[in-house]
Amino acid sequence: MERIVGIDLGTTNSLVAFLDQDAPRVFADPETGSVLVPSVVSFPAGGDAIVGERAKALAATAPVTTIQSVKRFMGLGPEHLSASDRLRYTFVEGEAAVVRFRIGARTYTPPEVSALILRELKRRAEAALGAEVRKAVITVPAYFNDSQRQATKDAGRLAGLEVLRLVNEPTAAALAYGLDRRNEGSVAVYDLGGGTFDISILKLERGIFEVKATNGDTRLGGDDIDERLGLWFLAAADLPAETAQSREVRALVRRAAEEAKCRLSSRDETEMAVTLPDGTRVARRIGRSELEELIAPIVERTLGPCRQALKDAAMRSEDVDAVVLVGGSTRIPLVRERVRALFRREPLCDLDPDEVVALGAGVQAGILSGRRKDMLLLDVVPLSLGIETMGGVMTRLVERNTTIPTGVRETFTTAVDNQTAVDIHVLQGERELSGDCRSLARFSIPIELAAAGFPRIEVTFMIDANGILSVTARDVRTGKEHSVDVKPSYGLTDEEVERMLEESIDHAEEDVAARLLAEARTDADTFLRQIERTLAEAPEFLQSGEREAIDAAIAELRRATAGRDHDRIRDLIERLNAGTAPLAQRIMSASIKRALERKAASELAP
Amino acid sequence: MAMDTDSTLCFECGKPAAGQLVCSGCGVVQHGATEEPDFFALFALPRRLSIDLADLEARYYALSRELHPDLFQTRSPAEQVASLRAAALVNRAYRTLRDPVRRALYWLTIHGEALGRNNDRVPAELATQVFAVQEKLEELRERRQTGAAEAVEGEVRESHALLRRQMRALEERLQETFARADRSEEQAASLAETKALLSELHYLRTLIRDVEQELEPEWSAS
Repeated sequence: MERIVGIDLGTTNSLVAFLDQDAPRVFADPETGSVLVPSVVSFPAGGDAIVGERAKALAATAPVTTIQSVKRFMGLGPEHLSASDRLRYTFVEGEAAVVRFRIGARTYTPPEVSALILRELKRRAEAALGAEVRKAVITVPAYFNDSQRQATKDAGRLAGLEVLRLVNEPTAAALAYGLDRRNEGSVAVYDLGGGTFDISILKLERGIFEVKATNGDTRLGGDDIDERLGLWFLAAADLPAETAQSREVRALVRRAAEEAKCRLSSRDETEMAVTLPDGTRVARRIGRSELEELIAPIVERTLGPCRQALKDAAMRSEDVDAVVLVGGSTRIPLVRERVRALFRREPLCDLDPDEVVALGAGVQAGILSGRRKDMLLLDVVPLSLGIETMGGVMTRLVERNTTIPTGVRETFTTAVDNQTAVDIHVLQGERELSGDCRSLARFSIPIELAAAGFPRIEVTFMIDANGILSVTARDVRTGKEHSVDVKPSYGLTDEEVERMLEESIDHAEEDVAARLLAEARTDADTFLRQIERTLAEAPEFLQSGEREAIDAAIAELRRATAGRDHDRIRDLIERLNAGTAPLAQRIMSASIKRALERKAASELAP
Repeated sequence: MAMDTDSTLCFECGKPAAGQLVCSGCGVVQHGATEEPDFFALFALPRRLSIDLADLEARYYALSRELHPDLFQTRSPAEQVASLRAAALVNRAYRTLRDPVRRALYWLTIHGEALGRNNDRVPAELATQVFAVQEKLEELRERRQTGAAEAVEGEVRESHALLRRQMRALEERLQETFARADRSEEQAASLAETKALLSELHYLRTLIRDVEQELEPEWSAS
């Protein structure tokens, strides 16, 4: 049976879980017993990358070659980097659209660094399950935009994982809670992690988890609190500017701040101490109330999104039946106090806030593998999607908090006579002007010459269950569908991902053709099993002659898998797939009919 | 790019729905590249403007339990694509029908009476009111620059409350119109009335949003 794992790829720590029987469990390190893999990757000169606990230990001594919180850089371009980012790491400046870390002579994109963390999790799961793992569900912050989601999918691919689904972290947490408590009603999930903040409001009803609204900030979390506390320490210690500016000292201070922050969640006062590279020990005492004063503005920044999410869900805070806390930063007493005050109720935190997202990812993996049929997530797109129209205006095609998957079609025309092509600029965000929204992609479609206002260009947006957008455009007058070459504004192209994959494989050992053949054969086998299952389960939907045509195509594909031509295998898979599309359509229609009949019947029942 | 003002208000569906969702003969879903089934038929509901929302939700959940792509992950690629399309359609239909304004706009569209984007007629009183509120908002912005904005802010809050009351009254009238249209006594008159109400609602909604934006700016990251 196919093993699908659930992965929480966190800013600070990552975990991997699996649905065992009916309950999810997270895999621990067999030696240390720890379930957390620190999301830290260190690149020692001339050696292999080090991931996790050992890399974290190197963060203070080798801060420039050790990357922490890589998640904060996913899906970004160099222009999104802050001054403190540049203080911390060295980046490739200029030409590239995607952020690249410079480590010695090499450069790494955030998806490549994340892939190393994913590989570590994959190894851990494979060791625990005693079998290869090739498929995964990965969680992402609900407020991640399209570029950030794509980057996460790319990371999975680079790690040798097929990412079956990206699940929003708060939704995954709700799934774990829903499973645990079997409760119904409305739930607010407040998720403050190491680097990101999400608020989601859901309605739970008989196994359906329907997200009503979500909001957040993808650059707000425990890291900001550590940074704030670190700055306080540097000011209080009054170190010479040269010392205070050094990357080594900043890394040491950051570590000390993180530890002091954690201690202050259970104590009223603590000592924050750093031993500088020259051996001098610097220490300052800090009380909880002082910390709270420092971080209050950061905690305050989470409340606006909460109010907006309530408003978008058309609810008042008192309408919420339960509030769930997720993420390590919700251990901070001030955070709990603010959440309690906003929702006027005691928040729930009985599941470990570090594990709950991974547990939910494990449940979702179980749903996708067909092992749990009683639960279903209906999630939403967090930010509006649209295109740039005349005057640099963002015209929305899909509003935020629209349930996914969804599709929409809109017709546009030209503003200038005799345009030969139309440029389409795809945007995401809530602002009125395109310049204030996030650019996702640009492409151009050729059109027939005409006066302004005459051409009709139909743009179709399709958003899948991962919240990832695909766009097609068509010149209505010629009826020509243009295969659109979308250039992601802040993402990797398929070719780049392919090249990275090639580079990551040891060429001395690897025969590329043999690998392509093996992959094509595996895919053909899976595909043939699926088709045969469909044929066996739904013979009544076949039309006359259809079975014969499909059988012939199956036989041809089988013959091809015995051969060595991987391109031919791929072509035949494609052809057989197209040949079964009408059958699939008929089965789906019957499902619609059956669902409504069943619903009508249940109404008649006493 | 510009909005195509010639085309009808492509609010949810491109065309008047030709034909049914499920062919009664063979059970084939009738959605090709451009044609879409009737959203009411999709939920096996009559084309009526008044809808029992709890019943609609139950129908939506029942369909989602059959069609959602999560349930097709182990099936063939063709079935996965069919499920994605079907679920996207059901989601859009539900979003359209559960909101009275979107539902009414859609209903007008399938009756060949789409609301134009630029040629909405607005009653003179409403236009005057919109103008007055916008002026007040402008004054509020200026006062905020120079200080002492409290008095004006109070006035804006008052008009906000008034606008909300007007909005509720309009929504009630819309429901009454729905009931009349469903009894189809005077179909043509109902169509015209629904159209007029919708354009008023549209103006009020936009105005309320502007006022709220000024009183309590919407939180947005970008």
